[in-house]
Amino acid sequence: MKKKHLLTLVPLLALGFLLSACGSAVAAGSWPGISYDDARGLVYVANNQAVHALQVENGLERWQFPAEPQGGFTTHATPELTEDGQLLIGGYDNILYSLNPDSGAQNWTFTGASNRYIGSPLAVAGIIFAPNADQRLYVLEHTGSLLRTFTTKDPQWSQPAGDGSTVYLAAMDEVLYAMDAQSGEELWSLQLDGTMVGSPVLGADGILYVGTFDQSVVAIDTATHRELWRFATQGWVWGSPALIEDQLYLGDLDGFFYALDAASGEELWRLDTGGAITGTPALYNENLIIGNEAGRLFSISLDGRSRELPLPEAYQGPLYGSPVVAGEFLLIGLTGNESALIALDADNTVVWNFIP
Amino acid sequence: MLDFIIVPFTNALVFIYSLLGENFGLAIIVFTILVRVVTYPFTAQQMKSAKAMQELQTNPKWKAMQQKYKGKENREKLAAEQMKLYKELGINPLSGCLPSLIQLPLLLAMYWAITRALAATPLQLLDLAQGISLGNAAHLIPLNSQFLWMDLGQPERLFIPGIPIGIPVLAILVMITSYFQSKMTTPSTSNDQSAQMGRMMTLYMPLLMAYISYIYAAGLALYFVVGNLLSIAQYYIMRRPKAERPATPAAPVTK
Repeated sequence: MKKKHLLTLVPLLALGFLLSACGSAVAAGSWPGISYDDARGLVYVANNQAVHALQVENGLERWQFPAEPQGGFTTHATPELTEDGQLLIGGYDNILYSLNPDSGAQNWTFTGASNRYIGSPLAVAGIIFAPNADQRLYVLEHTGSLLRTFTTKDPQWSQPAGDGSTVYLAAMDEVLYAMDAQSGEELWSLQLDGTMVGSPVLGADGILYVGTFDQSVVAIDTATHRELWRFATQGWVWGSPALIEDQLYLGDLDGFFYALDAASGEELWRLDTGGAITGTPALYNENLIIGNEAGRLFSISLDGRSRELPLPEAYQGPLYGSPVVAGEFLLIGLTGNESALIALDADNTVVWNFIP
Repeated sequence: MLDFIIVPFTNALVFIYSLLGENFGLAIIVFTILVRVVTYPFTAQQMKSAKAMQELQTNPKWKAMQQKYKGKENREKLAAEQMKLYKELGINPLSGCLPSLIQLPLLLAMYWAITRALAATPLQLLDLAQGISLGNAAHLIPLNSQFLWMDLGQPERLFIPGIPIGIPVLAILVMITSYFQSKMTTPSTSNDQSAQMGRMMTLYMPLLMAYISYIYAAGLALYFVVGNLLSIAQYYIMRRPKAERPATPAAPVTK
C-alpha cells in the first residue's frame, strides 16, 4: 500500500479503534447473575459471553453455554430454574433460552423480543413471564410458545413476583401492575411515582414491597390495591428488599442500609456503608450480608450490629450483585475482576474462585 | 478518562431533553448546535486555513516556485521554499489540523454521553444515576429513545414493506454529508503530500463515519449528520463574498 494511503488510514483506524473500545465496554454492561440449585448442587453464573454451571463444593465447571463463544450472545440476568426442570436464560441478544440444567443443552429459544432481557423471567404454574427492555412482558408456555404479551410505557428490567394466581410487575414507567397468572388479564395497577428496576417482594400476608428511584420504599396491600406506607430513603433504591421475620432490609444508591418494620414502615436502624448498594441482602448464619460499589462486604446482625468482611486483594472490585447462599457457602459475584465469582465459608475464607 | 466532559455533556443532554418535551432526538440536534457554537472559533480557523491554502494555488510566487523546482530531485528544496512562503503569507499549515484534533475528544464524549443518557444496561444506568445532578432526574429516567422511526439507542435501520432488509438511512446520510463537508474543508489542487493526504481523507473519512453510524447507536449518527450539515452551512456563509472586500485572490491570512 502506498505511503500516503497508510498515513491517512492510520489515524482513521485509531478513531475506529477508540469507538470500538467504547462499544465493547457497552456490551459488558452489568454484573454476574448468580443462582443456586440445591437439588443438583450446582451454581449457575450468567457472566458476559456465557452461562456456567459450577459444582458448589469446589467450583469446578460442569458445563458452559454456549460451549464456544458466539458472536452477539451476552447475558447477565440471573438464571431462573423452573419447577419442571428448565434453566431459563435471558440474553442481551434479545433471545430467551431454555437449557437443560444437567447438561447445558438447549431445549428451545424464544426469539420474539426486540430488545435485551435485563431482568430474569418468572415461572409460575407452568407459565413463563419474561420481562424485556422492549416494554413487553412475554408470557410463554413452558415449551416456549408465546401465549400473549403485556405492554408497558417504558422498559421492564425487573423480575416479576407471583403467588401462583397473580403476577406483579414493577416496570420502569413507575407503575406496578397486577395480572392474572393464567389469563394474563390486567387486574389492577398502581402509579408509584418512581422508576423501578428491582423486583417486588410479596409477603405471606399479601403485602407487596418495592423500592423506587423516587427515593422511597412502598408497601402495597394487594387486597385493596392501595399504598399502606411509604418510607423515604436517602438515595434511589435499586435492589429488592429482603423480608425476614416481619422486617424489611434494603440498601440505596447513597450507600445507606436500612431496617424497617414491615407492618408500619418505621425505621428501626440504618447503616452508612460508604458505597452505592444495588443488591439484595442475603441471610447467612443469621446475619445479613451485603456488598457495595466500593467493594466492601458487610455482615450485619438483624439488630444492626455490623462488621466488615475483608476480601483478599486479589478479589477486590465493586460488589454490585446480590450475595447468594449456597449450602454452607456464601457466593459473591465480582465485577472488574479476573474472577467472576468467589465462594466464602463461615470463617470468611475464600474456598474457591471461578475465572471464566 | 473523559468524565470531566462526559458528565456535563450528559447533564446538558438530559436537561435539554426535559425542556423539549422529552424528545431525545431534538435534544441531540439542539445540543449539537450548541457544541458547534462553542467550538465555532476553532472551526472558523480551520476553514480560514483551508481557504488560504486553496488561494495559495493561484499565487504567482507559488507557481513560479513550482516551475523553478520541478522534478523529484528538487522536492526538498521546494518544501523548504514553500515553508518560507507560508511564513511570508502568514499561513500556519497546522492550523487546519488542530481544530480537527479537538473534535476527537468531543466526538468520544458525545458518544459516551448519548449511551450513558439512554442507559441500555444496568452499569450505564448506574453511571447515569450517579452522574446526573438534575432535581427531577428520577422521573425522567428512562429517557425516551424513540425519534421518528428510530430507536436512538440502537443502530438505525428503516424497514419498508416489500424490502427484506432494513435500510441504514442515517449511515447513508452520514456518508454523503461527511463527503461534502470533508471536500469543502480540504484544500484542493496541489501536488504536495499534505494535500494528497487531504484527498485521501475525503475518500476514507465518509466511509469510516458511515461504518461507525452503521454499527453504533443511531443517536451518534444523528449527531454526525447534524454536525456535518452545520459545517456545510457554515462553510457557505464564510465563503460568501463580502461586498467591501476586494476581489483579489490569495489574500494572506493572519495567524
